[in-house]
Amino acid sequence: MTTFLEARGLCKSYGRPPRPVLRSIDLSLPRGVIWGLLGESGSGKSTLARLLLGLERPDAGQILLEGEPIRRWRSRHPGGMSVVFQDYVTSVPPQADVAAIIAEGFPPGAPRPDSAAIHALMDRVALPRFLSGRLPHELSGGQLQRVCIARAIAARPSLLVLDEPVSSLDIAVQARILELLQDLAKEMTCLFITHDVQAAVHLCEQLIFLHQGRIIASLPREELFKTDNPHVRDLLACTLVLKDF
Amino acid sequence: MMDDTSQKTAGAAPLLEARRVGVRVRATGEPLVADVSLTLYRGRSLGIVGDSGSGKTLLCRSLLGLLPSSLTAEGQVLFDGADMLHAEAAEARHRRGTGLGLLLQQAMTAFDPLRTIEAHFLESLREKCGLAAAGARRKAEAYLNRTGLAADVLHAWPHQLSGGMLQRCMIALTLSLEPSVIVADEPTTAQDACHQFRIVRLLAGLRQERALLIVSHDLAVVQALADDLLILHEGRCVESGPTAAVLAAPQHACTRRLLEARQALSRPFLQLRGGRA
Repeated sequence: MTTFLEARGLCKSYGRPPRPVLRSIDLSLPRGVIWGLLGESGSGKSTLARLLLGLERPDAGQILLEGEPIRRWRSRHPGGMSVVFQDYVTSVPPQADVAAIIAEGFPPGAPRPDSAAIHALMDRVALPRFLSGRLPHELSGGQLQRVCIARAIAARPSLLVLDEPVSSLDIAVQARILELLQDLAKEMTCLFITHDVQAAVHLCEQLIFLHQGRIIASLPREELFKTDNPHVRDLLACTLVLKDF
Repeated sequence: MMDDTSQKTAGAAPLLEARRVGVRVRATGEPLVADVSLTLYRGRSLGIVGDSGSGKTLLCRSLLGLLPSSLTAEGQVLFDGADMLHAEAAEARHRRGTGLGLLLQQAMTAFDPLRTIEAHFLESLREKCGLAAAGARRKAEAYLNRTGLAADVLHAWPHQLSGGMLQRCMIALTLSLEPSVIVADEPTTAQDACHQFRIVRLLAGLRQERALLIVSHDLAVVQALADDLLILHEGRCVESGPTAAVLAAPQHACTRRLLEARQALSRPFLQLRGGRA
């Protein structure tokens, strides 16, 4: 498996006096794998995602994509990385219809997508085509998150970051969106950020655990219950599942 | 798990009784909640489960007399000698806080952005419990601590806290007034697993001495907290009974779907853990 993304010694602090949020993160993500990034709130998950997407620069350290520095890689691959956020409502312009929102996902300069291209993407995320003229407020949360996912995969990104994409949805809708992501993510390198261990195990082959800005464990899904890291074991012990009834 | 007969003997008189509650859109008459009855007893907890849009939040708000003016209410909600649905605003307000406490899903909008967290606690504890500043501060710290927050959040402004922290501040604020009935509307949505667990444990401890109504779309949370279940679908109660009995033999398609979705989501985790698949 070739390495797609490599991060070395990433550090990031915010505020004054500086409060470290990430402390010397090393990562190596092979192509075509779904990675789960787990941790409590405030552990640095979203900050790490913003650095890997090139939305912010690290204070120290380096990010390489296919061996190239991130800024150069991004300029050579427009639309090469994409993101889906937890808050689908603020992720879309309220006055744009579904087709226009999905069209935003095509890279600038690319030919304007025709309705066949939009419909093909709607089919991919199992959105009925008759919704293409609807506005965001006319959709359910699950439908709107599907619109955001369709927009995120429009340009066939190599890296897809999913930042808590199902946390605001009903359990029943969560399961369906996770199935969809499982199917889509086969074509790209995918980083699924969540505090929900059950959702991560559902979707991800590899799990990375952050705690206070450090990676405390990185392991294949099958070894999750074999770890002796106390923070990971705490998280597993706290996970609520239905008990036998 | 107590059975249905113990519910009737446990607390004697009910603390709150909702009779055939309905909610409609004032302008169109469209029904949003219809014909829901429920009773809350001291020492007992009731879980309300349903999809989004099933009327869970509206039902909660009607129990506290907090429906927006664009909606109308039918039926009765009897609490402490008043009908919360039709009481005068001042009379209903008097019963909220130390009588009926509401834990909201959206903590972000529950705080005044121009005041610190401490100011919220001091005002509520002074007005509702007659506590002076020092006593109020001690109580605030104790309840913040029970939700896993350090006392220094008292000096924070709402915008300086994460959604999960604000939600815990709101839980601490509501519980510090020691209400006899706690209505918890999705109180753990913004929480990570460890904090969710902590809040569930906190509520489980409190229900011994109070009545708890817990609303969630997550049957795992409800199972951990509720003695009885009420399933809401399109504004109506489609199934109710002791939690264990409803989960063991769900009668309505909606209940079965909610149960299957929860089980499907947990299955890979449970398989890895080596438990039930």
